Amino acid sequence: MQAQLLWRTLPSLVLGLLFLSMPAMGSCSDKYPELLGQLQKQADFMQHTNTLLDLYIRSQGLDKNGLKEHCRERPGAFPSKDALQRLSRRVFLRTLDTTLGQVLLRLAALEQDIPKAQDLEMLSGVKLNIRGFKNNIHCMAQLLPGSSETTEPTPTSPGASPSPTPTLDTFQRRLEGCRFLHGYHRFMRSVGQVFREWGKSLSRSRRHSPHQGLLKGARRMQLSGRNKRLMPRVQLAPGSHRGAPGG
Amino acid sequence: MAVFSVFQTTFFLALLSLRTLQSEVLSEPLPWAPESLKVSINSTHQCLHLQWSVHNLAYHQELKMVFQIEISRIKTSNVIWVENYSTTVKGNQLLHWSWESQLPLECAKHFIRMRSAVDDATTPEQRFWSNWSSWEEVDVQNSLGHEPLFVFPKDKLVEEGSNVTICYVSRSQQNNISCYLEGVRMQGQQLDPNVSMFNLHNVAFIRETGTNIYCKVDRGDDIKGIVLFVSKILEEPKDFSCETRDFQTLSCTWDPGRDTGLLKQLPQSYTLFESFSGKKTLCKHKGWCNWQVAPESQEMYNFTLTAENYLRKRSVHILFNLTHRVHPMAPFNVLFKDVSVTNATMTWKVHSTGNYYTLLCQVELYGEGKVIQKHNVSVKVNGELVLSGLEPDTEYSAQVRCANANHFWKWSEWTRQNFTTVEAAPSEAPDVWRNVKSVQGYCVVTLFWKPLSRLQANGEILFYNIVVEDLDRPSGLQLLSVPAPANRTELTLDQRAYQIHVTANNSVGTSPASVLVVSGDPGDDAFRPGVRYNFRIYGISTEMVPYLLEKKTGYSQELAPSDNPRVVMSNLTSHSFTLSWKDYSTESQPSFIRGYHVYLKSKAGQCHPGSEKAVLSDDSVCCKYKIDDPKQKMFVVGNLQPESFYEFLVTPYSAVGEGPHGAFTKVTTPDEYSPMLIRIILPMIFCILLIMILCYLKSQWMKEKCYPDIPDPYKSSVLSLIKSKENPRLTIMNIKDCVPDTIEVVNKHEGTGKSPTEPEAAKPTYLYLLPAEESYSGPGPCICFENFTYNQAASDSASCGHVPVPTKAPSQLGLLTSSENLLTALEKNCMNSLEEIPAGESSLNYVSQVASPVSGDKSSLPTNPPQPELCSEYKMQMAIPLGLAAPSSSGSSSLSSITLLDEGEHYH
Repeated sequence: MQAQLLWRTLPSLVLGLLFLSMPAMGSCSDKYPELLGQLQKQADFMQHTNTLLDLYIRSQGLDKNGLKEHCRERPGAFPSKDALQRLSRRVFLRTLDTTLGQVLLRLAALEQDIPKAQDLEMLSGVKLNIRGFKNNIHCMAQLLPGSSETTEPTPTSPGASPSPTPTLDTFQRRLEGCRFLHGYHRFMRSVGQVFREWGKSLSRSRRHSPHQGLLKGARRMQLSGRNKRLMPRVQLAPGSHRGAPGG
Repeated sequence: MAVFSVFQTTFFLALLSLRTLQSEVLSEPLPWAPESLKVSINSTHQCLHLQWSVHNLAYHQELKMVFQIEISRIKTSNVIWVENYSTTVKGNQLLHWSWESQLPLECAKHFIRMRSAVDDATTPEQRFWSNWSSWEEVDVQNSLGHEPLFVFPKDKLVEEGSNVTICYVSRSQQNNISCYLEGVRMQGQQLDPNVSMFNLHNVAFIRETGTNIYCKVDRGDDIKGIVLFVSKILEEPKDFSCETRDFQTLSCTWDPGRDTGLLKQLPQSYTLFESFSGKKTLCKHKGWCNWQVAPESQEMYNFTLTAENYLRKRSVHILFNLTHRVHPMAPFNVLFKDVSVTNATMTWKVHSTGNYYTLLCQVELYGEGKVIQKHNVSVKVNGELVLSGLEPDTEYSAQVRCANANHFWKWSEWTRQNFTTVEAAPSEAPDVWRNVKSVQGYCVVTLFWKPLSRLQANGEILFYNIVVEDLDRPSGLQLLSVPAPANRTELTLDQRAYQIHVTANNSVGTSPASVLVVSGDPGDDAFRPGVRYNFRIYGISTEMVPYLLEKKTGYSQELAPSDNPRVVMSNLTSHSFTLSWKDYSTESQPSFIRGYHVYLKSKAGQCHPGSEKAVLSDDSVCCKYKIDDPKQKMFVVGNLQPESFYEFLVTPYSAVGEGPHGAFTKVTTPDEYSPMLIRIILPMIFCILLIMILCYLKSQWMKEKCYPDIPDPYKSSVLSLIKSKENPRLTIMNIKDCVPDTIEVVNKHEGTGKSPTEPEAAKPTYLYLLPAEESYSGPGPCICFENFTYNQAASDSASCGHVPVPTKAPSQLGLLTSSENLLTALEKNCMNSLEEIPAGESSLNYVSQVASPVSGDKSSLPTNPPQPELCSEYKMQMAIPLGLAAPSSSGSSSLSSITLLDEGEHYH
């Protein structure tokens, strides 16, 4: 049991340390492919249910036949994959950032129902990862063209409200929490797929138009200067971390 | 006052009776009837709260009343609870009463009504009850909403082992609903078409986050459930005790026991209450609490510790005298003064616990990690102890702890300190020995000494002093100082006698001197190499008596063994031979013999396990066996080949080498089979010869034993008797009278006594009867031999016939007890053919003397018949005239023969 916990906790800690290493380096990475790869890997990691959902199901006793079948994402709680793919990159990132912000709030509410210190420690690791991921989203947003332009409206995700209706009893709240986490993992899987598509389009554009790649590189140079100006804003976020696994 | 009270009650009762009468007539409420009854619910606690007032009770009035409350469930006629609630009612007072329902209130409608009476404890049966109030209906289901399914109670908190009732409320009767406890389906009881209840008995703690109970519509996706928080039972605090270390604070500790498991939902608190002072404090910690000691010198304390949570309260008490619960602080300022060679004074201080308290302090002295001394000291404020019996220049560690001497409670912690005793002069002379050599007319004396042990040195040895005294010139002294840690020095002296004193010195002083004398003649010290020297070392007691300390044997120089043992070979076989050299003396060798090497040369050149190949000085290769034990002087050389040539050599070895490789001894192993053949064939030949000689020598005896001559009746002496009487009327037995099975003619020769009536050619002189057929199961037939000489009527086993079975042995014995009976038996039984013989005629009765299976002892005659033995030994026969037949008192053969002739057991 201890070893199992260690295996689950270790990647979170490694990721957390990687996120923490970014501020020490001083600024966001201005390498678009590198940052995209990091985001993709983080999303792939966070989609695994053993990082959060399995822990919740076990601690709340929802791992019983007839009960776990009801732990399914409610439609509309998180943007679907199709909806995410339809979004422009900028709006996608903003949606992702907003949704993860709501996830953080919801996790804080779920924390109240988790009594075991070990589970709480793991949940803290998940929150740390999400914060790091959000910061990488900010960094990515800076690399996109027209980052200083007026932002498009962000589609709302009504199901991802900070917490369910307070009148819910413990059982309903428990089921809702389970469904929410199920949706969260599915959402991160979709996010990973979107980032993967971004990566494919990048390699296509490199293959077909190396000149365009150079242009993008130039744009990145411009963006990196702007990025530095944005740094204080990013660091003001409470508990903000940057980083990515591998790279 | 009492009189007034009785009067008032009587008055009210009378008035109540009157009003009751009036109400019956006028239908008006009685005074003091309950009114304004309001019912509220607390779903969380499943409680109904009732609130009412008493009608017409004046403001200043105070009346003891009883209220009877009825609660019905589902319908008013289904009364589930009746309770009389007694209380004293004051004017305009709102009365309250609560009732907790086992069934969640949402599961069914409840109806409540009540009535009142003045509570007269003396005559409760004569109460005059008011009218019932109207039924108050409590229906929570109306406020549930429009969801299709509900499960109650929500988030209930119970202790493990409790009984809990669960219910669901369905909005549709069409739905088939199943409910589960942690995935296991529950069987319920239907209260009404939409409501079912489930009784859970003795619920168990499953997890900290509670037990999931849920219901599902079978054909739908809807699921509703509750979480039942089951807590472990709050345990009574254990090992509750309080103590003080400074008379200012009492520190109380306890073991809270196991966790209830629901610390979030069911927090628990610990409260400390002291009854003498009436003070109370809420403890911040789960297992301990501090209490400020009262400044007014309160000695006795009576504490109550209460552990409490929402479901349970547990208390424990202790009563104690403060002075009996003193846990002193650890002593401090531990010092050592006046540390000498063997003593040290240890001092320490203790924290003040009041002038009138005495502390008992325990001191432990450690030397080399072990406790070597223990002391108990009574202390008021300052402790002091002289530690003695210490060793000089030794590091010690001492520790001290204290406890209340008058009322022991607990020892304080130890306080430890190290110290080292001071040095003393070395106590022993150094152990010195010498080596004297003569070099160019001088004596070169080398002195060696062993460093003193720590106990002998009493400190660090700084140098060694060597004083050389010329014995020929008493005034001539030389002093030489050798710094430590040297352990030798060399002196060059004249060839005169000197006395040398060696002392060890530390910072304190000098050791006793070790004295030795050098004679000046180095020849004394010459030892020859290769010579074994035996030393006996004697000590001299204080009485100047020498005593043997030790025996030592050694060589000044070991040399290689000079000669090999004389080896005797034995037990030579085709595969091995044995070598032994028992007369070889190891002690007369020029070195310590450590073992032997056995070299074996063979044509095959292969070495077996246990040996190794060795190349000798002549480049020949052989196998070498090593014997590590010098006392082992025998060795078996094995794994040899038959008819093979070998050479061996046994040589000793010592630390400096092995003996000379002289001549090898030659040996050839014999053939593999010849020894075996010799071992087997020779004894066999001998045995056969012996048997042949014996057979030759004893041939006559063997013939008699193995092939005895068949007795010839014609050669019997009886014939002479018969001839003398010349009885011409010898009866000839007719062959038809017998029933022979088989007749075999064994021998046939002409006898001398032929009967004239017998056909000559057909009359055998001797007949041998084979046994009766196997199918014949009855007693054996009577077999008769008939010739001119005798008549036999006997079933003789020796004649291979059946033995008549004596059915009644005792009667037979009776017959045999007298000669008359015997004769009668003989006449009746044996002479079957003799009936034809006229009385008085003499005849011969042949009695076969076969070996009887019974002894001659009559009393031991067997009751079982003897089994016939085929071809048993045929014994000597004797013909007995009937007239001469007499009972034999001792002849077993006669008895046994007669026994065969039982009465009525013979056959013709």
